[in-house]
Order: sequence, then C-alpha cells, then structure tokens
Amino acid sequence: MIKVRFFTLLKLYLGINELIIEAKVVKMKELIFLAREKTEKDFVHKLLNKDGTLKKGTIILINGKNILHLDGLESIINSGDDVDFFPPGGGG
Amino acid sequence: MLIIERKLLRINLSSGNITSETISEDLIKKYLGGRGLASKYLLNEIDPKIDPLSSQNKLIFATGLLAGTNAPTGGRYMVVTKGSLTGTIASSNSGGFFGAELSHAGYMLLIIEGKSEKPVFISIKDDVVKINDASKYWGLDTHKTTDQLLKECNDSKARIACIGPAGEKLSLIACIINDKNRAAGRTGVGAVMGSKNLKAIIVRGSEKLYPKDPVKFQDAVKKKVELLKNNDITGEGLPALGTKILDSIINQNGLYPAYNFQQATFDKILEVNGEALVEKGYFKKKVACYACPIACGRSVTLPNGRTGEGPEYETGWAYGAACGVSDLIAITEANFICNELGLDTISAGSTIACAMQLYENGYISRDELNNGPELKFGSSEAIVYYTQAMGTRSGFGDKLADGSARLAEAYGHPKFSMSVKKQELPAYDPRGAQGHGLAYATSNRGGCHVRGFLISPEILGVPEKLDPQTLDDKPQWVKTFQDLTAVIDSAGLCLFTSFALGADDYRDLINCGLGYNFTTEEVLTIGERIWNIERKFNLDSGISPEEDKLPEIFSKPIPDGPQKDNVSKLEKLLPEYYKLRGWTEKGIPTDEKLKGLEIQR
Repeated sequence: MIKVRFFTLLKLYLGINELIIEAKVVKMKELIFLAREKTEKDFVHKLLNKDGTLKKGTIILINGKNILHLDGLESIINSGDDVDFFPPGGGG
Repeated sequence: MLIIERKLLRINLSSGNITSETISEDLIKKYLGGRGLASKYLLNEIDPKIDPLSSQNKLIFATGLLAGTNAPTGGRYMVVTKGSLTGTIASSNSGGFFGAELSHAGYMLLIIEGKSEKPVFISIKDDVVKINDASKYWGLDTHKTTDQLLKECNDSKARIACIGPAGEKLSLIACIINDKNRAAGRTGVGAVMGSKNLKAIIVRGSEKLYPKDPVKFQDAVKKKVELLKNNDITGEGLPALGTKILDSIINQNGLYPAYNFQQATFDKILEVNGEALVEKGYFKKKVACYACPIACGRSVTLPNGRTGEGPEYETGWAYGAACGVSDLIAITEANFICNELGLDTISAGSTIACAMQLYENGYISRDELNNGPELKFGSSEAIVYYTQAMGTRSGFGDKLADGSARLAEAYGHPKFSMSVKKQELPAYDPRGAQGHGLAYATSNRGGCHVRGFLISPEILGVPEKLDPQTLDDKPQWVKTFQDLTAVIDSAGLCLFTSFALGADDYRDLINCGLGYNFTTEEVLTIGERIWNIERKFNLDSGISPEEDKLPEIFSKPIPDGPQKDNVSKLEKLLPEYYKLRGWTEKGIPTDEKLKGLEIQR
C-alpha cells in the first residue's frame, strides 16, 4: 500500500488530498499513471513534459526525499512509502 | 525624460532646504539605481558608526533603474539607510505603485536628512516639493493616514508611503507601508523615518520615462513578459496561490520551522497553508503591483467582513507555525494589524514566538503580561493581542517592540532569538538547505531570505536542482545569487521574475535602458560591487565578520521530519565563500578587491 498525496495546484485542481495505491513495489514513472487511473481528471501534464520527462520545478518526494536525488522517474517505491506530488512552485 | 536623467531630490528636515541634483551617468553605470546607487550615496555621506536613530542618519528612497517603465515588475523601490534593528546597512524593498510614481515625478533618489522638530509629511508633485505639518496625522494607522492624506491633497491618484504608530514610537521592527498594504519591511526602516518625525511622503508624477534604446527595449520587454507568462511558476503557481504556494513544499521537504524552530515540520500545516486560504473561501482575488504580469498579491476577506491583503508565505509562517498557531483567521488578523500599525510581519511574528518559548520556560512571568493572554504556543489570542500591543508599545508590547534579539538578551537567554545580526530569520530551517544557511549568515542586512534565495535551487529545483545537503558547490551559488539579486534590486525589478528569467535577460533590459552593451559578466560585476560596498559599510560601522553566524540551535540535529539529524555545516562553507569573494580569511574585502571594483569613499 502506497500513499500518494497531492499538494498546491494539484490539490485544488483534483479536489482530493490523497489516494492509496495497492502495490508492493513500483517505479515512479509507473506510479504516476497508476494514480492517474484513480483520479477523475488527468494531472500528468502538470508534472511531466510531453516527452515524459519531469518538468523543471516539479517536486516529487518519496518519504520527503526528492526523486531527483534518488533515481528520478526510475526511483523505486515500496509498500508503506509516502509519495508527495507538487507541480512547479516558488515564492518567498 | 530619459530614465537616466532622473534627479536626486535632497530634503533636509532640520533646515527645510530642498534641492535637486543631477546624478552622474558614470555612477549609474557602476551602480544602476535603487539599492546599489543608494548604498553608494549612503557610504559616501554618513559615518557608518552613527546611531541609526540620530539626525545624522539619512533615509534614502531609491527607485530602480527601470522603475516607471513598462519592464515587467518595474515599479519597485528600496529604502536604504542605516537600519535601526541591525545597525547594518538597510535596504528594504517594496512593490506597489509608490516607487513608479516617484520615478514618474522625475526622481531616482530621494535623500532625507536631519530631523524635523514637529511631525511633517513631504508632498512631491513633479518639481513642486513641500514639507507640510503632519500633526493631525501623528498617531493614525497607515490606512487612515493614507485615506485622509489623499483627501486633503485632493488627488486620488497620488501614491503614499508612511509609517504607523510603530514607526512613530521607534519600534526597531517598524516598517514603511506604501499603497496601504505593501511594505519596505525589514531592518527597522520605519523607526528611522519616525526618528525624523516624518509621517508620510505623498507623490504624484507626470513625466513619461524613456529608455535609451526604446525600440530594442520594447522588444526585450515583450520577450521577457512572454517568458514570465509561459513559466509554470510565474505564469501559473504564483498567480493561483500567491507566495503561500510554498507552505506545503517547504513543510514536506522538512525545513518548515515550527514552535520557534524547535521543529522542522508543522503538524497543523493543512489548516494554514496556501491551499487552505483558497478552500476556506478567504481568498477573494489576485493583486498585482505596477507593471506586474504575475499578480502574487492576495486580497482576502475574513468571515467577520474584515478585508485586506495577505498573508504572504513568510507572514503566514511567522504567525502560524513559528508560534504553533493553526488559526488562519487569527494569523490573517495579525497580518492586517501589522500593516495598519506598520510592523514587519516576519520580525513581529518571530518575536512573539521567541516570547512564547521564554514564557513556557518560565523566564517571562505571568505577572509581567499585565492581564494579557498567556504567551503559549498555539494561542491565537496571544498573536493578535501582542501584535496590537507591540505596534503601540503598550503594556508588555513595549518589550516586544524592539525584536527578539533584544528581548531574549534582556531575559538572559539570547539563544531563543532566531536571528542573525539581530534580525529574525525567515521561514526556512537552514539545516535543511546548507546554501541557504550560508546566505543567511552572510546577508548584508542580517537574517534574510531575499539576499540569496538558495531555496530556489536547493528545494524548488530552479534554475536546476541541487542537493540541499551537499557543500562543494554552494559558496559559488551563494555568491552568484547574491550578486545577481543586487542587480535585480538595483534595476528595480521583482526578485520573483528570477524564477523565469536569467542573468542574460536582466542584462538585455539593463542594456536597452542604459544604451550600453554590458556582457552578462559585467552585469554580475555590478552586483559584486554593490555587495562589497554594503559589506564595507557594515565593517566600517563596527560589525565584525564574526557575526556571520547562525543561532546555536542549528548546530544541533533537526529533531523531526525528512531532514531529521541534519545540522548546519556553515563553518565548512564560510572559508571557501570568503575566498571566492576575494576577501581575507577573516572575511574582510582586500584593498585589491575594492580597488578592482572601483570602490572608494
């Protein structure tokens, strides 16, 4: 069981805080689409470019760790992990 | 009028003398305008050792090089003076419309000297400049002052910068408010204005301003506006959620300080984040400053009908997580009070957080609170009550009004003040982003996030993602960010444009404005010159490089969240930073460096 949480624009856009993905081990690039299957609206374009790469500024965390410092979209998520999705954001 | 033909307006409040002076093109070429040019004048004209609240201090309102043009966000101004909170050079930056109006009146710099015997306001209508009696405005909040002054001057299109009761009462965390809700917030510039008995400046200008190369300039403006509109952050994220888009990002990354930095995540974040401001229905509409295509400002109405602007990310944090408060209504109310009384929201919220820790540890007694609410973490009553008290110096608020460093020192526990060079830190735990910690420690105006916003690469991944815990590359990133930020400030543009624009883009706008052909490297050298002149001011004022440090809590491990166990590694970064800056091992710019940058008094 993997918990996927939506924040900032995604939260407002989808109208949900989180959903649960029943999977034991999965790569991030697969998890995004598994989550997509469970949401009413498509959100993938908010995180990824058309060629499937991460948009500049997209933040995806596995247990608080940015996947860019793990294996990017190839990063492995295990059951029990928490995943956070953020479209690009900035301020200060 | 060409933008480089704008004048320096000098007003001496002791003698009543008003003069205007030409600014040499050579100085503009070296310092651009705004923060840079004003810093040069300040270093030349005052002894850095003076008391910031004495009549010898000067208060400079400086518009940026491009202020008043249609360059995107080109309306910002800076207040440069010796800061009353820090004793450092102060450069507090604000948006809204006041800066552009001052520029349209034909002025790049307004230097206020001396001290008036009685409360006054300054009126500027192009070249008609007067010093006027302000007795009837003294004691009024910033909103009433603005409304009544506009009425008296019978010009609804004029723009006003003023102080509230906090500045009048010389609170060292007082700010200057313009256009009712925009603030030149930090380093205590409001107290300097109050010390001169200057309540307000009202300005109206009718000059059209032209860049040196108008055709190329308009082409460059068009391209930069496109870049800003098509960028995910400046074109979508900031307009939709304002700066509070950061709450969840910083919290989930594990560097969102809570309970006066005792934790690095806030357990009640979902109650107070930017999403909540929208979902609870308080957010009403976006607000844009002059010539801004981003519009990150928030117009908000609370359930009781009270309307105002904010809270921004930093304010929401200072009154929220830092004080352990999860009541968005109270946080917003405290924000409104700060704007009205003229208090810097970061310092005000963080000072209450410091007081809460002192109280909960038994160092502040119940009796001292004069029947005010208990200073307990999580108390929404306390943040509203003590903000009001602080801004009017009433009761226990008098002790809070000079910031956390002096408060904690007075109670014998300076470690509870989360400040650098006596200025309260913003909303990022430096143990969670090592480069950002270095930027805090070396900021020329004390604890500050907008002198080198390393959160951008270390957390947000812009312009590229850096690991927040690596050290090797950070001193160079900090130096580059500090120098580039000095350029952006001096050009009169908003730092938020840098989420979409790079150094080459600023170079383009500056070149068209000035009619020069600076390389990007030369533009960054201007930033480096500004950084060094500010450093020189601070050293000459007696602030030791040993003050380039962080509060002691940051040498202890983060207790919670995804960054658990990380500590600050500032001591490993500083030597390399000094070396890159061309300073001595002790952090002092060498004569060779100053000569190379053509810095002399």
